[in-house]
Amino acid sequence: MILDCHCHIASHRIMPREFFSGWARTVKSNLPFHLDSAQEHRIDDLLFELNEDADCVKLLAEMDSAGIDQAVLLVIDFGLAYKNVALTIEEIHLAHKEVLQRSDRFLAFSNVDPRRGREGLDLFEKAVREWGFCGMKLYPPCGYSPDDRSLFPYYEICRELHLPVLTHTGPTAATLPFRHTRPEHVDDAAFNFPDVNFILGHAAIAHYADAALLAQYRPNIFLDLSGFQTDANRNEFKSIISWHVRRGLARKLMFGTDWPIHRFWGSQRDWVEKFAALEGESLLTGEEISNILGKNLFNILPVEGRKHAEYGT
Amino acid sequence: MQSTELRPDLEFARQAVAKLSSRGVKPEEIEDEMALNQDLGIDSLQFIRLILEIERQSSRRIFNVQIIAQIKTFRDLCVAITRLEAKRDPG
Repeated sequence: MILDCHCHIASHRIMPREFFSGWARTVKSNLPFHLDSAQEHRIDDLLFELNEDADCVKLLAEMDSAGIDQAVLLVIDFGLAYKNVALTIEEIHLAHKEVLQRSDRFLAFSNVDPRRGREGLDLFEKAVREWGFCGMKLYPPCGYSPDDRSLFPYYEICRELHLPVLTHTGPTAATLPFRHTRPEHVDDAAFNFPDVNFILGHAAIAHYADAALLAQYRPNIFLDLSGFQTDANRNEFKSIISWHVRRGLARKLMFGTDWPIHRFWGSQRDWVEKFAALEGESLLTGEEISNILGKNLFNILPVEGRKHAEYGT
Repeated sequence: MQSTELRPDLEFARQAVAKLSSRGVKPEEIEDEMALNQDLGIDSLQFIRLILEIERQSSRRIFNVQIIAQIKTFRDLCVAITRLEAKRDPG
């Protein structure tokens, strides 16, 4: 069973253009060479292309090719951070609900910016109690911290329904602030809600040592490995995984792709193969790899989500 | 597709790969099945440079994200380039 813990619906109506502009700026600022303006525009165009799969057809084809049984679609509520998101946050949830109804290959985690107040909490409750969403997503770069008290009513619901919380950690698109993205911002929430499992998205990327420290000491903190595709292409992934394994964290690691963001660096299949190859490197046992690819996430899904995951496979 | 060694029109791709290879590979040493990353030392950032360089030299848009994700070897790169030619010149 392979479960991808981190995907998004690739659509300009759901993931706004400003976000991709920011992502393009981040990518360009990382390039170790000068770009002329034509090349800058070319990179923008290529990256905008990533966001064109509103019906998840390309994603499903990639999942088939990679042997991924199911993927978690994560809602991101960009509505308060960016001005021109085409759909309301309720419509975005409904778009995810439609995908869930169309295919048993997907699970979905809800996300509502906590600054939306009571109305936002009601939408979240409806999503997780009635629409089949089986977890919560947080996107702190939109301007709030995971330890913000306004999120605690959400965590209460997560505790009641045994829903995991996957929160972005680490730097992201250049058009968003990074100040709430360090892993330590999750600690207060994880401490106050020891029965709620928190997954640190991208294992905090650049701050992976801090994220791993939290995962080592907090039983309810896990690490999502999506986003390390660029490190893999720089041949740094093995040493990062090795670092986690030496700290006994194999059972806390989860496979994720962050579709569509990292399509540029390779296919879903490439990424699965990178994990599978770790067994040959004697870094992980076959069982540990199998757990990372699916079981570690499966074990913390709520009962309904597990049934759905089993059914989908 | 015939061996890329026999395709002078792909020589610019061979030159560009050699130029960006961190392994110091000469153009004539590049074999079709060599992986751009593992064998030729072109990491993800240099790969972006490579596709920009190839498009600049050929003065046309060749790549899209679907194709880019499939390029692993030098041969894949050449297939991507020639696929566009085939589309333009069905005869």
